[in-house]
Amino acid sequence: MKRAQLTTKFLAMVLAMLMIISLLSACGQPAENSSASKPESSKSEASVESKADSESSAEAEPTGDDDIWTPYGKYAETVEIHTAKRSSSAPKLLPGDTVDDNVMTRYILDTVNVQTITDWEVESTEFPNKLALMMASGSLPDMFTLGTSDYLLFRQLLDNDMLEELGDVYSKVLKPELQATVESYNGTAQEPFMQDGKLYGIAGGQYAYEHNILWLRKDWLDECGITELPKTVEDIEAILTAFKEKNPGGNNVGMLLHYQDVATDYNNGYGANPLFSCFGATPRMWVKNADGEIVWGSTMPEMKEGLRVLADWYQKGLIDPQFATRSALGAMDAVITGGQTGAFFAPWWVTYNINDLPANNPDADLVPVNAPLDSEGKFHANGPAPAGEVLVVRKGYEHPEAVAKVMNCEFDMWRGYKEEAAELIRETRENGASWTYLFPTSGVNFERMTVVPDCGLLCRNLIDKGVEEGVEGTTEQERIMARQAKYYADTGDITTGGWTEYYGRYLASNILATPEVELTMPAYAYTTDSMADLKPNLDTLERTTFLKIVMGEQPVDSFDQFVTDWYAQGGQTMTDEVRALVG
Amino acid sequence: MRNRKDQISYHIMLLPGMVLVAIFSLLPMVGIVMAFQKYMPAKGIFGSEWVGLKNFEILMKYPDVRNVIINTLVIAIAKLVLGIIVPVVFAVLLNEVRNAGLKRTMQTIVYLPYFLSWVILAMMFQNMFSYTGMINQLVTAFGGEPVMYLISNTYFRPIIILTDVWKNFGYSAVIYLATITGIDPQLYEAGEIDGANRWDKMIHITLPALKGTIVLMSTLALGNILNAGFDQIFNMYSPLVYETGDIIDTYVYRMGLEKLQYSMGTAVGLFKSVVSFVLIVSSYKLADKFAGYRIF
Repeated sequence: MKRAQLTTKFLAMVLAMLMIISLLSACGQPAENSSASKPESSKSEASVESKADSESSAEAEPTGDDDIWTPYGKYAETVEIHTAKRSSSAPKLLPGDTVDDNVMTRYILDTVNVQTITDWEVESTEFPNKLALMMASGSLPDMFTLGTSDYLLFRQLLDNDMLEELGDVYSKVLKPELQATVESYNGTAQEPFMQDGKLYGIAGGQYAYEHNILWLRKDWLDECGITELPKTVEDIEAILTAFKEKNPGGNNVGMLLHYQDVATDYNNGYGANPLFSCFGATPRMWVKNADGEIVWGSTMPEMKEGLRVLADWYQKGLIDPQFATRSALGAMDAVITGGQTGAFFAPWWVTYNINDLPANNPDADLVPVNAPLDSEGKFHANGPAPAGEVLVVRKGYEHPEAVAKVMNCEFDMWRGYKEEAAELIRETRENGASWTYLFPTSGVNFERMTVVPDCGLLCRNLIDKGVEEGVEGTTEQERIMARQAKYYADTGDITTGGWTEYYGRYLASNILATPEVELTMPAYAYTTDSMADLKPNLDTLERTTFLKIVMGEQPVDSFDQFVTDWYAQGGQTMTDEVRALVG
Repeated sequence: MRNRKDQISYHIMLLPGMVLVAIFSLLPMVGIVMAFQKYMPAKGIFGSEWVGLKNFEILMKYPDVRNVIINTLVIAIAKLVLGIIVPVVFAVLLNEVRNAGLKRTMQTIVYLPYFLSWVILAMMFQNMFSYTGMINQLVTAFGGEPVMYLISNTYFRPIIILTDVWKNFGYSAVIYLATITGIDPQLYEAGEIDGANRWDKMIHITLPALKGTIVLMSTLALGNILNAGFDQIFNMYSPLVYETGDIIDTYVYRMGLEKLQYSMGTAVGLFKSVVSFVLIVSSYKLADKFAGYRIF
């Protein structure tokens, strides 16, 4: 103990000295290098220059400068944008390239004369905290991307007048192809980021169809002699029982389940959401119930049926008995890639996480299924919340339009809107660089609402008919993935990304938007005043109750007590607030 | 009054340390006001709305809080007590080992886990205690039923306490061994002349000589009484064992940092500090009263 204290003290001393040194050195900087002074000087230089160029435009504000307010208007003087990044553990840039000096930033600099400077980068989980710190100290980066779960931060920023209005930037500078992407949401993507008719962010939108579906090991089904894909809860149980009895892979542990969330949030894998939805419940979402009242989906009485099924399966040994202990990073994926399970619920993109499967189990063949269906043959799933990721600009930044130009260039390269740009990035891309890390905007997830099934269709056309034909607006990025899927379909080569695209896009993406699928959209998807205080605790209650019911530590009927407790411990307050807001 | 000039030089030598304390320990105290605010990062500490004791009221409404405090105390006290008994016994016994090579090897081996991070050790224990892990294989070999120890509310606390003691006792044992080495050999010789056997010497010479160090180590450890071990528990727990394993620190982390609830996090932190302060002061008084020991 004493040793620990000494070490802490020593570290504290070292840190203290470092900080003093950095403080001292920082004190000297503002004069020559701070973000506050530089753009101003460059601006004044620019205006001096324009005065020299033509007398008439001398009086004009930058907003009046037609040339600058176009998608590719190149600045006379280099404009700097300070940004912040969610970092990637393995950036995979080309040797010699850095986050601020790589093929993409160089292209942006050449095309529009904008240099991006990354002020700081932290892991995505730490990003909101770091950003909150920067908000409090008044040193926000010029542009940054807020994640789907950071909506509360956005509201705070907006309420305190810290964000730049981006309506003109969006309509005048963002290129039409990208605007079309936003328009594919019919306004729902932007609505959360508007106030009094003004737009305060470039919204990526949260696309639909990232709900959990049932995945089965096709080779196991074959081995057990099961030819028909399941439709009902009973069918699934029969399959799980066959897997348990015949143990096709040799080390089957049972169906995989998320280690702490029996039902997961939208776009999170391994929760048994379809099992609840087929009985009419919509867990982890505010929804209108049958009486037209808004309720928290996890407290709907229909949840009980799903819990009953899971508890029964667990008791029969059909569910991985140690699922609740698989909390380590990647531990759940490892159950699949290790060939220990033949059944799990996950979104179409799960193949990206489990791409080690074919290398470990060469015979492995997966099949995604819309199951279980309800009594009318419909497959119910949660729809997305309207607010997706959003790119915002700090209030007072001199060149908000430059942000849209950066975005134009990024997508010209990544999506191949311009051929030479796509060509430039090819090598970095093939090296496996992650686009979220590469993009100076930190990669707003910026796609059409229906991009997943659209891309699925493209893959199907290419593989089944041999024609590379997609919907209008199909991008180079989608074509690349389709070609990878086709390559795998033709060769069976698992060393490239083809396996992932084949199963995720060719197979899974094509069952997401079929007529049998019915999406339930959230009635409310944001955070009310008291929710921030109350919900974490209620989520814990929900989590532990459901886990205990499934694992047989509590009877299924204790769900009723949970609902009573949930309302008593603040759920009523939250529900009242939501009802008052949405009505 | 003594020579003042002489003292000034000492005060100047003290100054850098005091400045550091002021910057890193006193200044951040201002942040405590967040506990009485509805803190918003955008408004900062000085602009956020004051809410008085509302955060504490909400905190007390959480049904888990009582559990969390009990868990913290039980785990911390058990670690503290075992963290004294085990190394003392070990040091005294190891001291009796004749073979110097064996003694040194033993000492190094038990010291080793002290340097490993809980992130790594948690992985190791998760494997060992898993459904198909080493422990369960032993249990089934003797005809028992496998148990999932780390999600069982019966076993979680003992595992947390014992693994922590296992990790840290080597370090304290080294300190006790050093104290034992410092005991005047004449005492043992005198004991032998009086006819004491090895057991008598251990009870009547070694242990009394260790008393001062034991009290010192315990009093120092009391400062950590409410630190039940965030690193360890955070890496080993899961929702199913919140009931017996959730401690104040993990709770603050989940409620405060993960969900950006800074005010609530600060309120819990402040609450913890107040309780710690009371405990430390009273245990310090107790140590003074019963063992006559004072640090200051």
